[in-house]
Amino acid sequence: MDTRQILMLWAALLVVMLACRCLPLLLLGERRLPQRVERAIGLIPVAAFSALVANDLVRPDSFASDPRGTLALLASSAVVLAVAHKTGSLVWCAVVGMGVYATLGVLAG
Amino acid sequence: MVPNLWLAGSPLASIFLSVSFVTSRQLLYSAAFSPHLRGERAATKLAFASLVTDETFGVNLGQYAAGAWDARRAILVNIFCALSWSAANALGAALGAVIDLPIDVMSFGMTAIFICLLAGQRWDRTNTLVAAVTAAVLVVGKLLGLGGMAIFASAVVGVATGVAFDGGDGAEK
Repeated sequence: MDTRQILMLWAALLVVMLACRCLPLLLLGERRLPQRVERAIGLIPVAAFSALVANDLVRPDSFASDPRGTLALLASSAVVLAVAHKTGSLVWCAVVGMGVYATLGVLAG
Repeated sequence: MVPNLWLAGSPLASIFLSVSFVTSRQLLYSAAFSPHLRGERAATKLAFASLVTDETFGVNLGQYAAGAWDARRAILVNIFCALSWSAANALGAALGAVIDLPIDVMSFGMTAIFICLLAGQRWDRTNTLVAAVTAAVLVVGKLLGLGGMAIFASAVVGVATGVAFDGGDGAEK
């Protein structure tokens, strides 16, 4: 890839990224939306967080190639879920989660 | 992502499409923030939206839901996140060969935060269905090789299912 191609790619991706990031916020913000659209927007957080969690936890190949590592990941997630219910603290969830995952990773070898 | 695809020998169009698909989930993030930034100036919205990441989406949305949050603080969160990301990249390039940090453990910190934010949602029947459908579609998407696009596609299917389930008025049928 030469400099011209890099610049073309950078410019094209900049347009896409800014459009995806800014247009919904600019277009949806100030107008009264149909009830179904408002409802859909209200459901985005639970869907987005569910997708992000599942994306991090589900690794199709790893069940076969690294079952103990996968179990460590899922067990750590269960512990984080318990901490989340108990404390509701992002910091505690991150700290405890990393600690448990590191410990289980060592135990899993 | 671009350097990895480039080093793997992917053609220019393939790199563009791959990154564009991964970026598509920002459409949902941006839409989700629209009720919270209502009444703000367009420049403020642009300043905020242009720096949203997965991480700052989660943190800012959690803070907005908890109340007592505003655009200024949300933008600052985005800026501090971008600065720490840049600093971490520079440090990693300088010290990466010396310090052996377990990347998977560090990454799990962010997964834990997403789990906490998911757990903090209101768990009525519609939200439970949305979460379950989204996760199931994401798994199928990953098995089909959709990659980063799976996040956007699964969330859209999950939201559509939720709206169909409760009729779009928040009253479960």
